Amino acid sequence: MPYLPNVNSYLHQSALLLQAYPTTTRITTKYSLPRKRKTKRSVGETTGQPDASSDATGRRRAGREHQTPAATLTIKTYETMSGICLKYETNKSAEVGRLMTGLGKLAKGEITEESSVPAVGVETIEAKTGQSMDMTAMPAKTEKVPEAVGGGGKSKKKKGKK
Amino acid sequence: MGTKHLSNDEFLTRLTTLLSTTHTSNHGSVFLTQKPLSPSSAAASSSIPSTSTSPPQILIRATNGKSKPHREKGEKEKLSTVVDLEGMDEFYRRYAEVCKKGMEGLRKRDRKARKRKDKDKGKKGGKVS
Repeated sequence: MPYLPNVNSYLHQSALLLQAYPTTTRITTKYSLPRKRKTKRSVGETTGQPDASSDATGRRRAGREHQTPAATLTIKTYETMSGICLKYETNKSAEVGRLMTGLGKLAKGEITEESSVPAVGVETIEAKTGQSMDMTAMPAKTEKVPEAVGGGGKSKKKKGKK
Repeated sequence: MGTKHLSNDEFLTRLTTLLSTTHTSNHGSVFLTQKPLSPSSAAASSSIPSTSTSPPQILIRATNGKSKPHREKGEKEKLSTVVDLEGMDEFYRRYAEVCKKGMEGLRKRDRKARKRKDKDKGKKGGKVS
């Protein structure tokens, strides 16, 4: 089973699966930290032989790429009898809370709707900002904008209250 | 499996330390599993017995997934707890809290992008009511 595109669809599909097979479905969350590259490279930089300086900058760049946190959170709903498996993977810490509350709902057997209804008003605004972001951001980034709508709506409302 | 289930409180505190030790070692995984706990799970496979759609109890496991050589060194961590339906809301609230704090390796929200968004909104004058 391929990965699902966003949190909401994952939760919705999982809820349906749980409803169909309430006793034999399990949900596994895997939080994995990849092995970090040894900091030998940075040590090499500081000792810095002058002739290797151009090489060192290249290395430094590579080092920076590795510095960025690349932990992943993979969540998987698996039904043992039929072998149905639903997966979702993220690396955003903002989605953890939503996923966990979703798990709570799933545990209680509640159904999560695929599209969050109250986000409609926000969605249009998000879409507008998405358009304006087109100019500055990469296309991959704008793709992510509607994905965040469900939770984004919530957080915005909270902001308004404060 | 000879290990006993922990209480919900102890499970959460142990999970916190499990997540933080995973972080300090800079590598590794934490697996969290939840499944409905039925008193006769063997019988449940043959026919679906319960009329209620929501299972009364949930079994939650946490492990760092260490394999046998680590197990002999005592590095394998395995925790489990059973959550009742009554305590579920409370448990999941704290569970989410623990996970949010513990999973530091994930990407933080991009503040710069958000600020830019807010600015754009301000220019348009479109406030979220």
